[in-house]
Amino acid sequence: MLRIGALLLGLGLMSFEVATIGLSLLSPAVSQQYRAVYLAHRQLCWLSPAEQAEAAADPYLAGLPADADIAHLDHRTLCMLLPDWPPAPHRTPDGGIFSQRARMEIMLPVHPGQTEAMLTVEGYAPPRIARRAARREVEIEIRPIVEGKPAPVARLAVGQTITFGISLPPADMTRIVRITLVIPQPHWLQALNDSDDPQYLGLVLRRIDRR
Amino acid sequence: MPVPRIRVWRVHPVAVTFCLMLALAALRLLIYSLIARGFGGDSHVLCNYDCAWYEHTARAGYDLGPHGDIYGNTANWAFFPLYPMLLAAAAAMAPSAVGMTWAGILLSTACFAGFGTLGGFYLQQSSNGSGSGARSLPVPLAWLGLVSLWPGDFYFAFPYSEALYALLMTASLLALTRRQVLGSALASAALTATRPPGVLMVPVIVADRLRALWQHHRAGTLRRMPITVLGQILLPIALAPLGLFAFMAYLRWHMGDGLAFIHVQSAWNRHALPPWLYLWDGLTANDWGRVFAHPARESLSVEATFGIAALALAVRQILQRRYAEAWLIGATILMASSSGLQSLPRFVLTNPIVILALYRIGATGASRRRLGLIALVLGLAQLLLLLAWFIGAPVLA
Repeated sequence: MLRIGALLLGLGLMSFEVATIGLSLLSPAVSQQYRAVYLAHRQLCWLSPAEQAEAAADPYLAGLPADADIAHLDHRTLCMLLPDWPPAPHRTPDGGIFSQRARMEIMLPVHPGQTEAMLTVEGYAPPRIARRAARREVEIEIRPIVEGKPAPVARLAVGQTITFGISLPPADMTRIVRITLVIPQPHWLQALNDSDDPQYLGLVLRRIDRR
Repeated sequence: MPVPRIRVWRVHPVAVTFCLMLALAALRLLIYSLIARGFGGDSHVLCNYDCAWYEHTARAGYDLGPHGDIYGNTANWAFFPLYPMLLAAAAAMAPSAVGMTWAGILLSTACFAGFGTLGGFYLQQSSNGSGSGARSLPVPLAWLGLVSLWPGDFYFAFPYSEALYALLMTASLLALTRRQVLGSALASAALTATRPPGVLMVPVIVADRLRALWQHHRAGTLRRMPITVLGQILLPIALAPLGLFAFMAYLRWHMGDGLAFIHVQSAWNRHALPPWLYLWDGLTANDWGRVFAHPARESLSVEATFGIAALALAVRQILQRRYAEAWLIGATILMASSSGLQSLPRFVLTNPIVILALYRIGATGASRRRLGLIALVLGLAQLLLLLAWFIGAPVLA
């Protein structure tokens, strides 16, 4: 009996070990982009005094291409575009930017004739709530606010990428428009988000295209 | 006729050896503490570098996201759980005035005394019977003295996992040489939950079990009693890496990535490359002077030299037909230097098999005069490294 037990215990432990390594390699419990956070070096959004002076002198964002892939923007431009990025920035290895604390501020330069901004975003759930989010089939809601006025709401699932449009106020000359993306958190996350380790449902910003 | 004290030692070899080691370690700790006063006091200098990570993990458990360095990239997933768990338990049991750092110092010191004790028995066990006559002591007296003077001993005294690692690796190897395979596998399971190189003990146990399987096959017992034989083979092999897999399963449950302890290495600028590239680049960097610069800086040449010296020792162990020891030294160095040279001096200085092998080379059968000279050199080297540690020399990180 003891001998059979030893053999079964050995086989059971080996199965556990194979399952652990298999799951770790093939199926991480968190969304891929969040898992990637710590593979990337965070970038502090800090500009040298010379860069700040240059940026303040304008037209630092005027040269922003109409179709802006976040991954290809240089550090300075990104810091200007997303001023709320500090103090806890996350940038994925493929260049996306995570929303922090359930909101994201975008300072978007708008040229005359441009009436709409198309935002490409991807939904994510951080580790502690990834499984709960998957179980509840959570929908992430994005409430854009343009210059203080609410814009139509967009929705997406965790892991889903969508592109949605935001109407821009008409501009006679190039000017900066502030867009705030608010991501309301579900009630079942409230207790966790009041704790020392808050975990927010959020989004990764991939592209901003202006039309 | 042995004197009564030696008779007590022979009757209770483990307890007496452990107490002797503990006494020597306590004496050394007292000296450390006195020297530390000249550098800002105990609490200021005894907890350097990774010590803070162990204390943080013992206090708060594993992180959910990176937060550590000035860029916020690092996290404590790189630090294996057994030492922080024991540290938390030691801190909980100790009076509150002791504090986390001193709880860690007491824990590490106890582990070091355990390593010294088992190391002595391992030396006796693996010396092929020489020195095991009626007049010999349970463990070589010179071993107790020299291991207490070893230059890297300060790592075994502070809240670092090195002392526990040395204890468990020696325990696993000693059990294996005594044919206590299950005990060896259990020590290995704990070892793989202590530090990443602990996993290198697993191939040693696997090789031993495969050899046993071959012997059973040759003797015909595999055919006659397959369940018994397979149980004896598979259970130790399954137990040996259990600590590592339990940690992986925990990480997956806790923060979603079972391999986070590997992935987070990039936050310390550790990237995988063939180890010989790092070692060669380090050796040819010719930056020896950085160690003596003010403030002292990391020297790739010094780090590479430590690694290459350890590899040479591994080759010598192969020539001595001590294959398990050669593997445990050589593979540890290659594994460590495959992601950079940082901390290589620490890995060499605290590798229990390096210490045991060097003892055999330097002290076995040595005259008293030679032993005295070795003790003097080791003691001075330890003092020098301790002072370098107190001023925060990066080469010792």
